[in-house]
Amino acid sequence: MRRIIILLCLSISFCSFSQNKEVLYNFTPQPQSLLLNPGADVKYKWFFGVPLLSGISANVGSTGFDAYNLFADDGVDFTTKVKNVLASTSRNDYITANQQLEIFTAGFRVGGEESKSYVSFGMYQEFDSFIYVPKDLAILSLYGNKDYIGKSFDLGDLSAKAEVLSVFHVGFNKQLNEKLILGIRGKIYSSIFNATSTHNSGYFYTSQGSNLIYDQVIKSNLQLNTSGAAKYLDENYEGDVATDLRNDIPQKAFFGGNFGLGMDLGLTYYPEKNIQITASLVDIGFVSHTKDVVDYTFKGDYVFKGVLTNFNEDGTVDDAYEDFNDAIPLDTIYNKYTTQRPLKFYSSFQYSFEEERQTECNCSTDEDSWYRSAVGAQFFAMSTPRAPMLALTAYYRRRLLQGLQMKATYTIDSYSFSNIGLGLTTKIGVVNFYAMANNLLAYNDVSKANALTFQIGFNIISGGSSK
Amino acid sequence: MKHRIYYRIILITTLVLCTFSCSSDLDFNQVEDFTAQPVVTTNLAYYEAKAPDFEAAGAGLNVYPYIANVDFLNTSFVEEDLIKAELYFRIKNTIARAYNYNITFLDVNNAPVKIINIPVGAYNGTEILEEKTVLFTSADVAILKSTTKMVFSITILPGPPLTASSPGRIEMSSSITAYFDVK
Repeated sequence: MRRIIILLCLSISFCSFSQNKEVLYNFTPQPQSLLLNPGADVKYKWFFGVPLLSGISANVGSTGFDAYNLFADDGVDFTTKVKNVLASTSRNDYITANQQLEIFTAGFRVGGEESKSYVSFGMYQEFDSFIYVPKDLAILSLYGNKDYIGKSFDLGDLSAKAEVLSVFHVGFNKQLNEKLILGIRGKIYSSIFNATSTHNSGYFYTSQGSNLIYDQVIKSNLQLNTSGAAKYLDENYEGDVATDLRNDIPQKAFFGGNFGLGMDLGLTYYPEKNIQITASLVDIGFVSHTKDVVDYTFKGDYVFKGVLTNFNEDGTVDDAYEDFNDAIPLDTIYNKYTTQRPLKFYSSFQYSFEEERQTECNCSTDEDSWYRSAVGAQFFAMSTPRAPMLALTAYYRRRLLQGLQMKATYTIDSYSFSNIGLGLTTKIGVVNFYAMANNLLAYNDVSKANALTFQIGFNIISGGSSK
Repeated sequence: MKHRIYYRIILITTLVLCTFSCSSDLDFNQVEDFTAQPVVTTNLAYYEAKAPDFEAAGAGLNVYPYIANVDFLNTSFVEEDLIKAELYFRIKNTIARAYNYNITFLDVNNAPVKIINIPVGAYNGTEILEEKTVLFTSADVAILKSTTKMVFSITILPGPPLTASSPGRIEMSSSITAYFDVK
C-alpha cells in the first residue's frame, strides 16, 4: 500500500490533464456524475458533499512505458532503462496525470415537490498535466548528433503543459418531459499556476558538407508561457518556497489567480423507457493569463559554420558563440496569453432490463418502478495538444441490494486494452459513500500499470434515484 | 445495521483490492545514477586562401598566423564532462608549392602545449588532399582543456615563386567530435 501511495504521489508530482472517468460517468446515484454531464438523470431533494471528502480523484497514465520499465529494482543500469524506454516510445507517447479535490459541493431541487429542476454548485481544485515524450530532443541529449548525420531533429517534439486551478461552478438541470433532460453548468476558473509550451517548432540537422565538413543548421521556434510563478522564477528570489506557496495558493484559489470562463452542456434522452442516450461536453472554456506572466522564447535561425569562423583581416576570428546567441536569443517577455481548457466529450447508450416494481420497502425514491440491471456503451474523447485522446467503454450496472449499486466497466483506450473498472455506491438514509477504481487487473502489480484512476467520496443526499 | 453492512462491503472490496494489489520493487534513487554520453560533432574552423595571397612570402616564412581564442574549451561543461575528443583536418591544395600547415595550441601563458603539423605537397595537376585526425584520449584531453588559443599558420617550402597571377587555392576545413560523459 505504501508503495502505491508513493507511486501515485510521485506520478502526480511530476506531471498532471483531465481524464476519462468512465466509472463515474452516468453513474447517476452519485451527484458527482453531474460534473461529467450536467444533463445527467440525477434525482434528489437536496444534497451536500462532506467538505474535502465528497470527491477525491486521481488519475495517472503513460503510453509506451510504465513505472516498472524505468524504476524496477533489477540491477539494470538506469541509463540503459532510459535508453530502452526512449527506443520503445514515439513522439506521440505521453505522460499525463490529473487530480481533483472537491472543496465543497451541494445541490437542491427548485420549484416544489413536483418540480424536476435541480441546481447544483460547488468548488473544486484541479491539477492537470500533459507531457509528450520529447523523443528527438532526448536522442540528441543522450547520444549527441555524431551517429545521426543526415537526421533532422524535430524541436516540435517538445510539447508539455501543467496547471493548477480552482473551479467554481453552478449547474442547472431540468427534465423537460418524460423523455428529455437538459443541463448546463457555468464555470469560473481561477488559475493558480500554469506552464504551457505546446506550440513549438523547428529543427536541427547535421549533414555532410562540401567546403565545410558539415552543413549544420538550427531553426528554432520555442516558447514557454508561465503564469503564477513569476515570483519564483525571478533570479533574485530568495524566499522560502514552501512558506510562500502555502500563503499564495489559498489566496489565488479564491479568486486571486488568472481568470477564465467555461461551461458544460449535457443531455439525457429516453427514446424508450428502458433505452437511454446521453451526451455531454465538459470544459468548453479558456483561461486568460494576464497576471504574474513570464514567457521565455528561443527563436531564430543559425547556420553553424564552425566554432572558429570568419578569419578576417586582423588575423582574429569572430566569436561564433556570440553570433549564435545573437541569432537565437533566449528572451524573457511578459505578454499575456490564453489557454484552452482540455475539452472532454462523453456519450453513452444504455439498455435497461429486469424491471422491478416498488414493493419491497417504503423507500424514498420517487419512481414507481426501476430496472435492476443495465448494459451500455460509452465513448470518450478529449482534446490534447496533438491528436485527441479516445476511449470506448462497455459497462454493466446492477442494483445489488436495496441501497447498494455497482457499475463494472471494460475500456479500451490508448493506455491499454484490458482496463476493467468497478464502482460501488451505497446510500442508507441520507448518507452516501462511494468508491471507484479502474484498471483493476493492473493492481496485481501497479508498477506495471500504464494508467490508474480512483475516486472516493462521502455525500449527504435527501431523496434519490435508482436509475 | 444495514448501512454498516454496505459500508463494510465497500470497505472490504477496497481493502481486498489494496491487499491483493502489490508492486514490484521500485527504486527511485536510481535517478541519481543517470549518466549520458552524448557525442557531438561540429565544424571547427574553415578558411580559404588564393595563390596570389602568398606572393610576398618567401620560403621558410610563416604566413597567415591567425590566432583564435578558444574560450569555449575552458567552460565548466567542457572542464567537467569532456572525456575524449577528435579533431579532423582536411586540406585541399591546388597551388604549385609545398608547405606545412601548422596548428599550435597555446595555454593561458601563451606557451605551446600541442603542435600539429600537416605537410602538404605541391600541386602537380591533380588536387592534393591531406587529411589528419588528432585524437585526444582521456589521458591527454587535459591538453585540450588547458588550451586558450589556437594559432593557424602556413610555412611555405622552397619552390617556384608565386606571383599575382599564380593559379590555385588552399582550403582548410576541420571538425571537432567531442565525447562527453554527463553525470
